[in-house]
Amino acid sequence: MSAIKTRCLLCLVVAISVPSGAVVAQDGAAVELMRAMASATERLNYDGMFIYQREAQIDSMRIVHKYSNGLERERLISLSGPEREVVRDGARVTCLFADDREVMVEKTEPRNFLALGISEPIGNLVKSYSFNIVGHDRIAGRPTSLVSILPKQPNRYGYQLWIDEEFKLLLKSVILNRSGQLLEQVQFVQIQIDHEIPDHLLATKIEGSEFTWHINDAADNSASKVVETSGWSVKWLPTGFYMRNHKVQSMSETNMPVSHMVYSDGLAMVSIFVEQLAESAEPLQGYSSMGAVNAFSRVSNAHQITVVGEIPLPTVRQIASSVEYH
Amino acid sequence: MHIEQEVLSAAIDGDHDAASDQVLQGIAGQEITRDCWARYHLIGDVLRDGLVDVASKDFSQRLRTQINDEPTIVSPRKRSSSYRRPLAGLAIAASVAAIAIIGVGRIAPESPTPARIAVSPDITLATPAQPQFVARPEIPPAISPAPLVEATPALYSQRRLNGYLVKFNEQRSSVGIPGVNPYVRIVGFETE
Repeated sequence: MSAIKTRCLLCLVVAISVPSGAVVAQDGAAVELMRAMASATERLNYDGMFIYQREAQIDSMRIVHKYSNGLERERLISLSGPEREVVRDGARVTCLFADDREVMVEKTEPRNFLALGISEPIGNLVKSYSFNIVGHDRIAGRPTSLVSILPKQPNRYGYQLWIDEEFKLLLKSVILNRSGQLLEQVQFVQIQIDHEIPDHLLATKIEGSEFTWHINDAADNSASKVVETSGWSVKWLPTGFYMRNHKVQSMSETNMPVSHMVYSDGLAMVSIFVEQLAESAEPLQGYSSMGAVNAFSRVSNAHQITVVGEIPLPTVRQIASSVEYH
Repeated sequence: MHIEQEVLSAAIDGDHDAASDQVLQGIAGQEITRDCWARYHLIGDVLRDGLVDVASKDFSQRLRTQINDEPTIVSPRKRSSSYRRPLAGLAIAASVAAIAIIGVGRIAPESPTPARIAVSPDITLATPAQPQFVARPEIPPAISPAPLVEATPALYSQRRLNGYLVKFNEQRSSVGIPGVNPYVRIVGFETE
């Protein structure tokens, strides 16, 4: 691994020292590779085992993914800790938790890869990040290209992506803070790509007949509810962040409407929630973190404001502080 | 090995002859030989497991001098345990989110049990020492940050946070870097 780091550093030095035109070309090659990765993630059949690490916590999981007739089917299985599975069949997601003897089913929005931030024009992406193919490595026994994504401002995280050279599938990814400290890591240890996936591999083995089932197949019906969020505005966001989505959703606990604004710079994403606090409701104030995900909550003008993002905590807090009613 | 060192080594081991005595006398006054003499005795003591625990006065003096000569290195402060508390906080939130992602608010009527109340009451959202926040340079100075308030540990607030996390993860599946499965965060929650 030290050799890889050395190679990364060397490439980084080279990237800095070469003319800017060459750097843009390097950026373009890396982004094109990432776009190929986005397509591969959706369109390929694969079955592999990987580890997921955040902080000191390491979990092992297996993912089986099949694409046929324009439909994605996927099964995510925990191999360590509690027996859990998430089965995705198009827009229908089923979560099975053997430790809690519960099954949850929900109809979610289908993944829209055209809306992926990676489709962002490269001209916008390079304002916030530098993209470089910095070397080659072997992950899960397969040759990969290593893409380094370095933020140009300290208010967002950096990424490293190991992309399969043959199939362009993402085999390893890490999220790093500005000190280079690893926040989250996903790494395949074994994978079969482009094989025929028999349907039985996509069916859960957890016997859920005696479990408690929670089913929500209805579309989100909260849009018709009235929520007064028009007077709220976000005064500060890191440069390059634009609104990608804004909708009114229903808070599961209270069924109260909440305004959900989604901002992204093309890679990092942040959600801003504004919800009117009921008189009896206990406000949430302060922060919380999990791996690369940070949250900060505050109360303003009888509204609960919470910002959740895959960005550094000071940035999350600064955004939350800038949400104002006028 | 140099001839003089060989003689020294033999002498220390008590294995020398008259000829060696002459060499010994010849080299006894050399500073380098005295150093060798001390070093070989030290090696012999170690081999015979006879080394005392107390370092020599000379060693202590040299160590003190070197420490005094060392430049002061200001290293990043290690995260305090108080900073780690919130990690558990949102991790637990994620575990609840795993359930909540399927819509806790709309439980099937026949379900006799609440959707899920899996938040450990002893897991609270703690606020880190203030300097860990205010000293960070990435906070733009234009807007003063909100005052730090200790996060509410109440179960209700945890559930509210879960709901936000779920909605964030739902969006994360269609915005941002593809290939990183957002449900990984849901399945792989901490079990503490």
